[in-house]
Amino acid sequence: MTSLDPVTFEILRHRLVTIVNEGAISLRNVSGSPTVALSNDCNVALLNDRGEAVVVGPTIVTHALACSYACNYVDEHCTMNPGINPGDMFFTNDPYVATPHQTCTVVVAPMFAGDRRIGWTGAGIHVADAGGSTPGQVSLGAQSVWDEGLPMPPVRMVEGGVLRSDIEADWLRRSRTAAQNAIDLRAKIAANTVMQQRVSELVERYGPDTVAATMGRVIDSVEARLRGILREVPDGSWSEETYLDYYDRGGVEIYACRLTLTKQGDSLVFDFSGSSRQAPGVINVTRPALEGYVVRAVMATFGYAVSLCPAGVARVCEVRAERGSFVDCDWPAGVCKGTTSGTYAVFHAVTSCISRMLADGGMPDRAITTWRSHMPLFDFAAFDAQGNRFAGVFTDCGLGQGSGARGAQDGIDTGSGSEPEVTVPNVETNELRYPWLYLFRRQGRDSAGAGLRRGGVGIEVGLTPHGVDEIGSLVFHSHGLDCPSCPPFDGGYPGSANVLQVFRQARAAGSIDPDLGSATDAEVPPSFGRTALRDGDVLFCSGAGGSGWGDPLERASQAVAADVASSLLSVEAAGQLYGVDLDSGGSVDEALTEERRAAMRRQRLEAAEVEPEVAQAIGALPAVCGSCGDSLAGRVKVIEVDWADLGAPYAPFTGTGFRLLAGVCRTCGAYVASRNYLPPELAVPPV
Amino acid sequence: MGSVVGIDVGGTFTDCVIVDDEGRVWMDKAFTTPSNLAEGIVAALANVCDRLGADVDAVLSEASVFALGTTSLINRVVSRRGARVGFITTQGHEDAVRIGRVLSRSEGLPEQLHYDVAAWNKPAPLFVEGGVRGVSERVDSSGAVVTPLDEERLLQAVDELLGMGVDSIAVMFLWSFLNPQHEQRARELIGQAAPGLPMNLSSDIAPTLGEFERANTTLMNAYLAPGAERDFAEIDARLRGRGLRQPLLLMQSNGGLAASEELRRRPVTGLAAGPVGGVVGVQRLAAALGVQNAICTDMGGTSFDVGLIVDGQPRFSGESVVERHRLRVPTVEVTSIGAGGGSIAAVAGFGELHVGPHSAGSTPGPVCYGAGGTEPTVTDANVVLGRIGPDSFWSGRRTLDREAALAAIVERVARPLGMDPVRAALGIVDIVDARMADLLRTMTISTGYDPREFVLFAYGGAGPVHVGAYARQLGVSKVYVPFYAPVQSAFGIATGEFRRHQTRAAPMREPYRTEAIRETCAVMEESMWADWEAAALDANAAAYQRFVDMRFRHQVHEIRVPLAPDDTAETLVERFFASYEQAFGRGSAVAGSPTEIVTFHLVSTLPAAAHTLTRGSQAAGSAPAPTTTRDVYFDEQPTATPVFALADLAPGARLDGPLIVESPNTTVVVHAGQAVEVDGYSNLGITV
Repeated sequence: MTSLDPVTFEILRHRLVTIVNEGAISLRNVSGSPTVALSNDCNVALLNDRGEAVVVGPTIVTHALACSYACNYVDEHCTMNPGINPGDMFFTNDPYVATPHQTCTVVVAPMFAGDRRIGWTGAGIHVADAGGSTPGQVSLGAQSVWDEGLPMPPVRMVEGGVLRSDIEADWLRRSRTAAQNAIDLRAKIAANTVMQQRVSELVERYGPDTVAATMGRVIDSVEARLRGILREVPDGSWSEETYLDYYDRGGVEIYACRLTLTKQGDSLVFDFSGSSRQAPGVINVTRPALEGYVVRAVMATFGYAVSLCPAGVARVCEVRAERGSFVDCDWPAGVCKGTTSGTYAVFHAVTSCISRMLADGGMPDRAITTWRSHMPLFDFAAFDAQGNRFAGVFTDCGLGQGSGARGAQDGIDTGSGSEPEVTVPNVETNELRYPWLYLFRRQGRDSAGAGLRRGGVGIEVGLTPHGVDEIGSLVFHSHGLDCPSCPPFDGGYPGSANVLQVFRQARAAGSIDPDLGSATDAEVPPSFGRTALRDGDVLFCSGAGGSGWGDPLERASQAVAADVASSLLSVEAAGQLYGVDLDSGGSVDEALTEERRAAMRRQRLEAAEVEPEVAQAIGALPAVCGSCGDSLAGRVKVIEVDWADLGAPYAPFTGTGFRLLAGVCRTCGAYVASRNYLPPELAVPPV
Repeated sequence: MGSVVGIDVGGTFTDCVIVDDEGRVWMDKAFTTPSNLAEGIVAALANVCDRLGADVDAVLSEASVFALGTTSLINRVVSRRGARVGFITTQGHEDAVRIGRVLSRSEGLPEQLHYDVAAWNKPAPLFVEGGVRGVSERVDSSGAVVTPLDEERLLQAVDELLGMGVDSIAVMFLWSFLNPQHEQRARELIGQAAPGLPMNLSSDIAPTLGEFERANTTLMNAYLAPGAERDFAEIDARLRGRGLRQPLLLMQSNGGLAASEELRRRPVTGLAAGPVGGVVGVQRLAAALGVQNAICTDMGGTSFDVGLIVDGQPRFSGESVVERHRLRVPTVEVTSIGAGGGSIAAVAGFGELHVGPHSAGSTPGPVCYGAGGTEPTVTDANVVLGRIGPDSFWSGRRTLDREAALAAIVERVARPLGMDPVRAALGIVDIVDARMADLLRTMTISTGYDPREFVLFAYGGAGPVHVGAYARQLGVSKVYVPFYAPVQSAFGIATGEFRRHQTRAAPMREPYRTEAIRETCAVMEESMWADWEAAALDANAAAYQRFVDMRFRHQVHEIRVPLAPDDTAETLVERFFASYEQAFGRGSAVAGSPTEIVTFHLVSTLPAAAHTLTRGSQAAGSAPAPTTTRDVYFDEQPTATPVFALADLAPGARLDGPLIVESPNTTVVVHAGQAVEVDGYSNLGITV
C-alpha cells in the first residue's frame, strides 16, 4: 500500500466528497421527479473495490448502502458472465440482493484505472412504480413476492458505455410510470458518469494507488473515530422491543422486533433473535435491508463523528437475526414496502438501544429516543376536469412527525427524520399539482410524548377533493395506527398514534371550517386498503408526536407554560400530563402546581403494581432515583399508566392489548423508567 | 457633474471609495462605529477627502451619487432587535412558519453541525410569542375565492394583537400572490382600525408560490421595517447636515441600488446585501475589461465567499437563507465556506490534518498577531512560508510574529504528525487552497458551466495570497486582482446601478398563447415603469430583461429561461430546451415532453451615474525594481523571491513569477510559471 501523507489525504478526501456532491447534483437535476426533487429520495455513492461505501451523498443513506450490496453481487456473480468491463453499468431493484424494496433502484458501475478495477460508483432513486397488483409501491394484500412487482437482479444495463435498449425495455415494461422511470434511469447513469470522469482525473494526477489508498484511509479513519467513542462507553447490553402493526386479510397483527445490543470494547453486536416470524408479504425486511438500516441508524446518531462514510460504521457492527423472521425474511416473502415498514421497527430499536448506551455512557446530549414514528402514508390517483391523470404519494404526515426527545433537549416539533435534507412541500405546491384543498395543516396539539424532555409534536392535515368530483383511488399503507411506534425513556411517555379518518360529506360547500372535533361519524379506513373520496368528504391524517424522556412531573413548569402559549399543549393536558396549573392568563400557579404534582406522586405510590412477570419487562433500572437521590435497589414498583390518562392522541392504543409500564421510586413517587409492553402471546410468534 | 461616493460599512472597517469627475478612483477606510454608523461613515469619507485634498462638506454637497452598503439590517436579525410583529394568516395554516417545511430544523446550520442531532432546532419565528391569528378566508390554486374573508374575525384578531403590544403587522393568506383581494381588504380594514400601524402584505413583499417562504419574507420585512426606518433616517439626517443633496442610495441583495426611502419600506430586500457589493464591483470591472464570465472570490479572515458572473450578469437566486430564515428575495448568489486567513489548522485524533471551518477570527486572530491566539492558522502558515511578510501587513501597522507562528505550527501540527515544519505549513496552505478550488468547481458545475471558461477575480485580505494556487487547480488561465481589492465592496457600491426585480406567478401550460405571454410582460413593464416614475427617475433610460421560470410538467425542478420581446410561444419552448440542456447536459431534455410556465420575472436597471473609469496608458516603461528580496517557500526549498511594492508598478509593467506584490492592505503571491501584468486600470492581471 502506498504511504499517504496527511496533506494529500486531506486534499483527496475533500475532493472525493466534492465528487460525490457533483454526482448528487447530476442525479437530482436530470431526474427532477417529485420524489427526488421534493423529498430527496435518492443518493449516490463512491465505493472501494470491495464494494464498501466510502463516501455517500447528503440524502437518504439507504440508497447508497444498496449500491454496496449490488457491487458485492455483481462481483460475485457477473465477473465471468457477462463480465465486468470499463464502461459497464449494472442495474437492480432486487431486495434479496440490494435494495430495501422493488421501487428502490440502483445503478452501479466499476471504476477502472487501465485494466485495474479501483472501485465503484453508484446511484439510487426511489421510483414511483415498479409493478405489482396495486399502483404505487405497495401491492395490497400480497401473499408473497409473486404478488408484488417482480424484482430484477443485477443486469448489465450499460455495456461499454452504451445503454442496452432491450434490457431497458424489460425494466420499463414492469412499471406503470415507464416514462419517468426512463428519465430516472438516465439520471443514475449520468451521476455515475460524472463521478467516474472526476475520479479518473484524480487518478491521472495522483495515480491509482494514491486514490485507492485514500479511499481505504477514509474508511479506516471513520472506523477508528467510531471505535474511539465506543471505547469511552462502558461495556454492556441494552434491549428494546419495537412493534409493527400490519392489517392483512381483514385483521391487524402485531409484529415484534426484539433487539439486544451488546457493546464490548469497541464493537457492536445487534442481535434480533426472537423477533416475530415473517409476514406473507409487503412488510418484511431482507438481509441487505436489515444490515442497511442498522448502519443507517448508527450513522444517524453518530452523524457528527462519522457523517458520510457508511463503510467505516458497518465494520463496527455485527448483525445477527434468524432467517425467516420478519427482520430477516426468506424468499419468497413479499417486501414491497421495505423502506417504511419492518425496516422502521429495526431503525427505532437500534436508535433506542444506541441512545440508551450513550445515556449510560455519560453522553445523553448525543442521544435521541427515536427519530420518528412509523409513517402514515397513502398513494392517490384521480382524473382532473380535463381528463388528465394525477397521481402522488402523500408524505406530509410521515415526514412532519415529531422527533423523539433528546437527552439534553426536547424533541423537534414537526421535524422528524435523521437526514438533514428531509422536507415537505408547501401546501400551495401540493394544491397546484393535485386536486386537493387543505383545510388545515397544523402542529398536533398534545401529540408529543410527555417527559422531562418532551417529544416533538406531530402534524395534522385535513384534506378534501377540490375541482374534481372524486379522488377515485386512495391506497393506504400506514403503520403506527394500532401500536405505539416509539419507546419512551426513563419515565417519559411514548409518542402518540398516527391517525387516519374519513369524514363523509363533512364539508359544506365553501366552508373551510377545520374543526372536526365535533364530528363523531369518523370512518376509520383499513391501514392497508383502498377507498375513494367524493367532493365534500374530508380526510383527516395525523402524524405522531415523538416519545418523551424522563418523568413529566420533573419538567420545569415554565417550559410547560411556554408550550401552552405556543399552542403545542392544551391547558388540560398541562394539568393532566405535567401537573401544571395555569391561570387564565397562562401563567403558572406555582403553589397549585406543587400541590397537584405532590398528589400525582402520591397516586403513583398508591397505584396497584402490575403482575410480576409483566413488571420485569420494565428492563434495566438506574441505580439511584434522579429525583430524590435515593438508591433504587429493591425500591422500584412497576405500575400501569392508563392510555386514557394521556389524552385523545393516545386513544387509538386503548383496547389494543398494549400497556404502558412505569417504574416508580418508592421513596418519592418519581417515574424512573417506562416501557411500551405487549403480552408476548398477542404478537406474531418468533420463527 | 460631481463625484460618486460609495461606502461599505463592515463589521470592523468602513470603506470608502470616491470616483471623481475625471473617473479617477480614491479609496481609504476607517473603523466602524457600531453605536452610530454615521460617525464611521464620515470618518472614512474624511480620510479619502484628505487624499483628494478636498473638503468633506464640499464633496457631499457636490456628490452626484452617494451610495451605502451596510450590515445594520442583518445585525438586527442576529441580535434579535426587531419589531414586535403580529401575524395574520389563513385559518388552519397558522403553523406554516413553525412547521417550516420540516427543513427549517437544519437549514442554514454551519457545515460542521449539519449531522449533529444536538444542534438541530427550528429558529424562533419572527412574530411575538403567541402572536399569530388565523382568519377564515380561502382562495384556491386557480385564484378563485372559496371562502370570503371573515372581516369581523380579522378585526378581532387585530385587536388581540394590539393588546399584546405588537408594533408591526404581517399578513399572509394562501394563494394571495394569485388573488390579492383578501390581503388588500385586510390592509384597508387594519388601516382603519389602527391607523399608522406598519403593515406588510405577502402579495406585495414576495408574490410567489409557497406559503412558508412568502410568510417568512413578509414577517422579516415587518420585523425589520421600524428599525430600518430609524437607522437610515439617522444616517440620512447626519449626511444632509454635512451637505449631502442627492438622495441617499442603498445597496440591495439583488446587487442594485435603491433610494433609502424604498429600503425603509422594504428592508428585507437589503438584508443579504453584505457580500454582494464585491460581486457588483467585479461585474463593473469585468465589463470594462471585456470579460463575460467571472468567478468572484473574496477570502477574508473567517470565510471564503464566492459569486458568479455569467454573460456579464451576476447569478441570482430567488431565495436565500439568512440567519436560518429562508427568504424569497432576489439575491445575488454568494456561497460561503469556512476558509479564511483565520481558519485553524488542527490535527484530529487519528493523524488527520484539518484546516477550518473553525476560525480564530480577528480576536484573538492568528498566532502571529500576538494578540493571544494559540492555534495555528492559515495566515500563520503564510507568514512561516514567507508568502506574507512580517512587516508588510496592514500598512506596517502591525508586525507579524513569524517565530510565534512557527512555534505554534511545530507544536500543534508538525510534531504530532511527524512532519517537517515547512512541510506542515505548506500542507495547511495546500489543504485550504484545495478546499476553495473544490467549492469553486462545485459552484460552476452546478450551474452547468465549465470553470475553465471563467476568469477569476480575487479580493478580500487573503484572496490575492491564495488565488495563484486555487486558480491553477481549477484550470482557469486568467486572474485579476483588482486595484480596488482592499475596498472591493465599496467600489461595487459606488459604481452600482439602480435595479428592480418584479415577479409574477402566472402558471401556464402548453400549448401557450403568445399573446398571453406578451400581455403578462406588458402588464409587468407598465408597473415597473410606474415604479421608476414614482422614484423620480427617468424610466425611459431603463433597460429591461425578462425571464420565465419553466419546467417539464412531470418535474418539479424549474429552469430560468430568458425571454426576448419578440419571442413567441414556440421560440420560448425552444429556449427552454436549450437552457435545460445547458444546465443538465445534452440529451437530458426529453423531446416532446410538455412544459409549463410557473413564474415571470422582470429585471430593470438604470444607471446611477454616468462615469466611466479612467484607463491609464499602458506603455511599457522601465522595469520596476523590487523593494526587497526574501526567502519564500513554494515547496520545501526556499526560493529567493523579489518583493515589489504595488505603488511602484505602473500600468504596462510585466513581470514573471515567482514574485510577491505588496500593498498597504494586501499581498499578492505570483507563483513560478505565472506572470503578472498591470493593466490600464492598475489591476494586476495574472496569467496562470
